[in-house]
Amino acid sequence: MVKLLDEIEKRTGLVSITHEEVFDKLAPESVHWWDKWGLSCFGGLSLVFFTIQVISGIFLLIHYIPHPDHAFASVQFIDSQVTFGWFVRRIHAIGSNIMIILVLIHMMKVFYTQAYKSPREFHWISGVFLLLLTLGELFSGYVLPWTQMSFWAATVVTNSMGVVPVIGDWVIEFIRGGANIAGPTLGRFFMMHLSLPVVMAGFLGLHFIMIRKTGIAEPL
Amino acid sequence: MSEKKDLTLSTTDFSIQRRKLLGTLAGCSGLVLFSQFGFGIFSFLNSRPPTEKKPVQMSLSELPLDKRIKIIYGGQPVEVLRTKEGIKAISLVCTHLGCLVHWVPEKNIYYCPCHEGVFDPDGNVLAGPPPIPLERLKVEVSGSDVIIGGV
Repeated sequence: MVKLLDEIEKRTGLVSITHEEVFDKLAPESVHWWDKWGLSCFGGLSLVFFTIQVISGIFLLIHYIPHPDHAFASVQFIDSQVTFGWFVRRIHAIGSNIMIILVLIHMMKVFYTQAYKSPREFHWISGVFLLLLTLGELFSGYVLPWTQMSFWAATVVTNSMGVVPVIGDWVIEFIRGGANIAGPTLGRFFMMHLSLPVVMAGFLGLHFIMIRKTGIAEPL
Repeated sequence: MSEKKDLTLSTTDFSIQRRKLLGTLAGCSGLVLFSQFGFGIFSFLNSRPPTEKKPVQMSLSELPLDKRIKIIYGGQPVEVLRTKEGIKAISLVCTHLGCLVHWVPEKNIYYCPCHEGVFDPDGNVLAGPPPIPLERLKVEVSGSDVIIGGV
């Protein structure tokens, strides 16, 4: 094992980079988790839950069918027939709720400690984008099982987009892929649910590179 | 082998041996735990709707003389042909690599377009790469009922 790592280091230098950037990079003493009632760890926990969502989501993709005639049946199949299917689906559904709670606590902590101030304005802005993307994920994921709840949630949320002046009605039809919630809507939401995480990964990268550059804000 | 030698109590430093033993045991239990996870993940990936090969029941009136009827048996297409000699049911799945063969009336053969496999009307190989004849399914006639497939 050690020899293998030596060979990898010789060729790529990845081992020393990992050591410098991850293992030897300790958190400043003032932000250890027991400081400030552990409030500094919620950003990292959000990342952990993002990862959990991605992995459990990939597993669910194997059995889920994004078609209005089959979506609900495939979700029932996951819940009742697939070994540990119910478990993975619960992880994905409950994990999403936990993730949004973690994200909100992370955001509140940054807000109340004024950590968004210069030189960290762009951290905050990228964070707001991440919040919106997370909400988009929650909403699009809620529609995918194609239950009554999904259907009416999609109806209500897309209808509420009609308040946008002038282009409101066009926006509704664009999001729905038609006048009503139907097959095209499911396709669009499925696309959204799978492509938003890719965008999120980009914003996360930006978020992390910037926090590495400036360091975490000093406590008040 | 060398691991086993290290674990004997004949050498001097007991604490190091004990650590090694504990390490090995921890590793083994970790392996057991991990393989259980692995089995769970495999079962998840391996889950699928059941595809049983249920015998197909038809009536004789559905099988006009000398007309090739396509049915689905166990998820795969089967051609049923009633002639004066009797009823035969031949699977259309090529025995080479699983493409579907079709009947070519002009040449009196079953032809597989993927790799030019040629079978005679009874499903025996005439030319091409298929290693064995097309599968013949059991046909049972009782009164006006025909049961195709089954063991």
